[in-house]
Amino acid sequence: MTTSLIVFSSIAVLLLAALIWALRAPSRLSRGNFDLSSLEETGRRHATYLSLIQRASSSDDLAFLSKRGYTKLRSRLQGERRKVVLLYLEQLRCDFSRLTKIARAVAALSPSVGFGQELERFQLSFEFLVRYYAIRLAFGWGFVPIAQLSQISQMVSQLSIQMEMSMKEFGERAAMAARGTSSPLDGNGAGVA
Amino acid sequence: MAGLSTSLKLIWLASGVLQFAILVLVVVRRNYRVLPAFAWYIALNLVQALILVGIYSHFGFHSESSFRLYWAGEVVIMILQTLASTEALHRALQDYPGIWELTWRVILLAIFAVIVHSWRAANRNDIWGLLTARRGYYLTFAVAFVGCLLLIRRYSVSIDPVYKMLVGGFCFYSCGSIISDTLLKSQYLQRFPRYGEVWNYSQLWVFLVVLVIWIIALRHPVRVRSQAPSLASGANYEMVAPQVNAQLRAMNDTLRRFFDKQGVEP
Repeated sequence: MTTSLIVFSSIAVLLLAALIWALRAPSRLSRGNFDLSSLEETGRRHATYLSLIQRASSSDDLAFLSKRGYTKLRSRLQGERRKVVLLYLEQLRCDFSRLTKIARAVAALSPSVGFGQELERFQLSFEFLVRYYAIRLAFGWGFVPIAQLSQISQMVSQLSIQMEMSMKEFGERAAMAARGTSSPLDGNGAGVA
Repeated sequence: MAGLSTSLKLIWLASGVLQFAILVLVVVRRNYRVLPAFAWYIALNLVQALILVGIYSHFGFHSESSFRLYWAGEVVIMILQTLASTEALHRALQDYPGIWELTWRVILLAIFAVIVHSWRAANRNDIWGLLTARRGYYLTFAVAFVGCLLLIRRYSVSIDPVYKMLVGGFCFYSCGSIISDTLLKSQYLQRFPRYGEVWNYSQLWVFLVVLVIWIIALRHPVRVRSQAPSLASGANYEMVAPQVNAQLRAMNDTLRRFFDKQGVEP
């Protein structure tokens, strides 16, 4: 009986915590997320620096330093490159989150929403986050060989370029649709916060 | 009214006064036009309280007849609670038909779960059948409606605070009921001397808090229609959603390929 009391009370407390979180007013930062004009902005994303990063990730540099006996400098370079890849991953996560936000904004404003599409997006977001954190951990604990860094950098950069183009297109479409039907959204809580 | 302590009678009276105040607010502010199910819920709660006063005075608080009549009324109140909460959510999401499409499915699923659970609990034929079914109802109610509120937050939909407070109040009451119902069974089995009274106190105090929240929420007339913009057709969604999902899938595949190369699939 005590077990049942603990289990049900814990569930009730968890539900209360979720309720408080759900009822909390969105922060000013998240209100700005649905300013559709911001979706049109291309910004200066990390893909702009692709060639620089690729040059910096070349394995020839590491080989050269080893050959010359600069072991300290080599390990420092490896550390710096690891940071660069982590930054890339972080950028990828931001792109992912931005894309899902656009999709949610369109869904919120749309008169009809596909349950399957929404469920799939939720699943994909969950999968992505699990993988993202697993890669971060792998990098953090040094499980990923440094030779892979350049390859991953390139992979992430290519994705970023694709994302850049897709997001610009989606943002333009969403903003055009909103402008065509009503006044533009702002962060004042009218409509979407 | 024998069997009820004075303090319990006072709290019961206070809840009656607060419910009456809410009913007055609903009528004076003409909120019954926007929230008819909620008005019915409050009115029938008051009527139930008045009927129970008569029943307890006639049969006594601990009699079999009082027990049966209380539970018969409770079922009606529970159905009205579901209707009132659904109505509040529907009103809140009237400018977001797409999101409403998602939330009513969650509620429908919950109703189905409650029916299955109640049917199973009723067929078990033990003395705790009614209480188990009641707890099951409140648990499913809280999961479904908190889920709906989380969904609303996930889509960053801004809804009128009145609706938030109404649905939030119902969810808070449900969470309190889950705890007090579990506590009642636990205390009874441990031979706690005043288990029934503790249950009544906990229920009434939680309900009093909810009533105060609702009075605060309903002190102004409920806004009928907001000025939320919307897309004229679902064509944008039908075009954008699959493309976004395809893009996200591609990103996930890239990460998976990375894992496959490393041999560290999570």
